[in-house]
Amino acid sequence: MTIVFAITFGLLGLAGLLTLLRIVRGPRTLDRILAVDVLVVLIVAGTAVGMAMSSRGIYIALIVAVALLGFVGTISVVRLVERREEYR
Amino acid sequence: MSVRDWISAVLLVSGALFCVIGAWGMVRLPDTLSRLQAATKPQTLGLLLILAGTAVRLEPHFAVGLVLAGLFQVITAPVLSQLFGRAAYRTGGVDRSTLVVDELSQRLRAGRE
Amino acid sequence: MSRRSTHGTRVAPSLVIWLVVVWMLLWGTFDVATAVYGLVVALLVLVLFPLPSHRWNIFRRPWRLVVLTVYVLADLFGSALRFVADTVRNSAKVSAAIIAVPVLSDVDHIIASAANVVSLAPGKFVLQIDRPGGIWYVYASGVRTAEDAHKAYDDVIDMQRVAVWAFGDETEAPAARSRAQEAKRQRDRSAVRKPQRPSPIEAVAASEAQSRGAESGDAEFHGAATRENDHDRDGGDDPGDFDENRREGR
Repeated sequence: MTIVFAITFGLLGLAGLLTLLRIVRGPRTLDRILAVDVLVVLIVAGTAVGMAMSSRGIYIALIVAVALLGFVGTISVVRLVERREEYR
Repeated sequence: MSVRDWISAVLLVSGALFCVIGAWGMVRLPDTLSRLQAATKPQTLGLLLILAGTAVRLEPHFAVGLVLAGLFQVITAPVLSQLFGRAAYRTGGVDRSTLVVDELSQRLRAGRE
Repeated sequence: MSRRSTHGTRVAPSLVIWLVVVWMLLWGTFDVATAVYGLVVALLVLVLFPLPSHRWNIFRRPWRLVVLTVYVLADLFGSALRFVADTVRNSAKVSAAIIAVPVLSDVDHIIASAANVVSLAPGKFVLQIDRPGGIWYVYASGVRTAEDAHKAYDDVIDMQRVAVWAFGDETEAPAARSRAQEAKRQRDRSAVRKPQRPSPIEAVAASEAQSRGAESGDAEFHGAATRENDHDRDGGDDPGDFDENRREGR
């Protein structure tokens, strides 16, 4: 089972790196926000895998809270960017 | 490895694979709208699979909380993609050369007459 | 256009139950103390942040919700795999379409839920809701030909029909079905063509028209619906619009 966790974490890390690449490159602000949102989802997924590894559900509340905060944060920033770019 | 471990392993690895594909699409695809697709859809599926894989290995009353997290993801992802799509379309985040047909711009231009 | 009124700040009992259930799931314990605290928190939240009350009978027919869930999950997996295959094979030359699809319901929260269901499927999402005109503009990726666009159109109609059937009340499901048949019949299968590239001036004017629409339409339906020009109110997918288009293109 250890190797399964290693593979999963490796894949998630790879996904995180690719997302970081988009954050660095992303020509538009929206691309960067999108990438940050994906990163948050990846962090949630990583936390879940960590919980599966220890077989203890200690981070459930953390997972729910981070997922919801990520959602609210992304939405407010998107609204802000939309307004700003429209009236420029 | 027990049967439970096998189920969990398959779910976790396939979920992580979906996450990687989504992230890879984010890097490769040319415009914001198509990146949005890659970012939200395989990502949601990947997270759901990983949560399921985790839930298999936990005690049932923790697994319930994971169901809640998955539910939130399923509810919030489409809202996010709609807001993002609208913002991207308005601020010019769409590469028009990729569109076979764009009935929204047709309608907008027709409406100005 | 019938719109369920948003009067009063009465606390809806179904919402309280739902919040208590979420609270208990969050704690992972199912005893009386948690339920009581959950009740207190739910009432507090609903009194401090009152929601418009509407007839939302989603829990009256759980069977239909189950069918919808299965339908969505099947679609999610199937089209996720197709989307991934398409992306891996052709990521360099992406092809997509924005298609106008008529809305099958007149009730705000059903339209919103149905839009969410459609947007959950990989490869498609609702880009813009023209609420007064009753049209969704759906972005569909992996569309390369006119036939693909028609197929995406039919997919969205079908999915929307199931969603209205699950969320709406008794009168809406048959209405949505007949409207779906009508919409499929009326779609002009020859109308899809490569759009003329808008010149930069036109693009600017279009975005201005959109931002004007945003100001007037932002108040309703958490900003998703925008009111466009009056011309749009006739809705429908009539070929007349395309003719105007062609004239303008010259």
